[in-house]
Amino acid sequence: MMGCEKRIADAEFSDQIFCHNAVQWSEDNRVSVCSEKGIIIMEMKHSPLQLDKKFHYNLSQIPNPKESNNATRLPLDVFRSWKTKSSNFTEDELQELFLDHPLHPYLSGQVVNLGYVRAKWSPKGADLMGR
Amino acid sequence: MKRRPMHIYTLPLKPDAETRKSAEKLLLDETVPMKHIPDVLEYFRQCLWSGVNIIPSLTNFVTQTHKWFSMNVKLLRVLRYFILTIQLHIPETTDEGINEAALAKGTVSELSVIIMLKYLEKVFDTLLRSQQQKFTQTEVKILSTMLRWLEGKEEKCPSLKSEQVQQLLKNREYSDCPICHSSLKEEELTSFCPNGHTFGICCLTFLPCSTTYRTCINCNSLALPLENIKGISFLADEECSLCGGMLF
Repeated sequence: MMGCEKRIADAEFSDQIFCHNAVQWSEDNRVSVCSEKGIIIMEMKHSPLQLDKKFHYNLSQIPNPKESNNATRLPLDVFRSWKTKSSNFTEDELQELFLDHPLHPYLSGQVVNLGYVRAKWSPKGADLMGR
Repeated sequence: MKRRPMHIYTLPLKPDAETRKSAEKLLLDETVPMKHIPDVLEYFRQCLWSGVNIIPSLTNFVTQTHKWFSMNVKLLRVLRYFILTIQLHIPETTDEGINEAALAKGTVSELSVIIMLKYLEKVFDTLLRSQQQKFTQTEVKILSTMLRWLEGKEEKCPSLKSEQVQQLLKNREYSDCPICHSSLKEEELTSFCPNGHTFGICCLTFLPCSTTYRTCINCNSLALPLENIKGISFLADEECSLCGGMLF
């Protein structure tokens, strides 16, 4: 962004950042933030009708998919740890899990659809609006 | 739990003079659309709020109203952006006779009319080039309203091919007042009926905007929803005709 002096803009979100490197800055100065509820898009306003010198943003959100692919009805954190192989379940616990819950076969490489963990901007001018 | 706000720091990229020079170049370059330089416009706005005009030549253009029509649309849009920004600094008083704000407001509306005339020139050129002979009812309403809006303004724009467009239209048809169904009349950017009902006009079609409409994200101009004007070939641009902003 062009600027001849140091400027600071604040943006406050009600939900938490969802992953590492959650903030991505586009070539045309839009900012995306991966959060718990989806991807927040911040677009700078440049309307001449603004009544102060501060930066103002339009905020929009790409919400997470309504349903995750958690078909097991397990709590989300348990499901996630099981899917991402980060759980510390013992053999017995796993056996119990398999008995108690209708676990569908685990497919290696299957996407755990719990939210957006990465966002990347396409090059400038790629869309129909030339943005 | 109270969340801490995320801070975004915008740091200087270039020294002052160089930044101003490149911003000025981008703002005056006819080939660079307004929608491609939102950051430059914001920089321009913030400089104006700090009391610095990075394009000093603009102040001369404000008073040279006779030259406006010969200027390119980009320059007119930048000039309008400039006046809209600076008029927010002028304190308003009740005495409109000597009020600088009222003068600035008058300048904005006069400038808006010139930009709309330029827009009409483009629309008419597209229409005549397409050699379209048959028109739908909506197209007839749009063209009739455009021609009615033009009445009394032709001398400002001698190159406008309004007579050729009139010849294409066999009948004229207009939109009624959406409330009382009496006839409407256009003045600058509003449309009103004898019973006092006033509507903003669509910046693309000049038709009155009543219940559903879009708004320009920059200058708050109105436009009819996209589905109402879909398929009208002579309305090629899908952006605010006044400032080039996006319509939502």
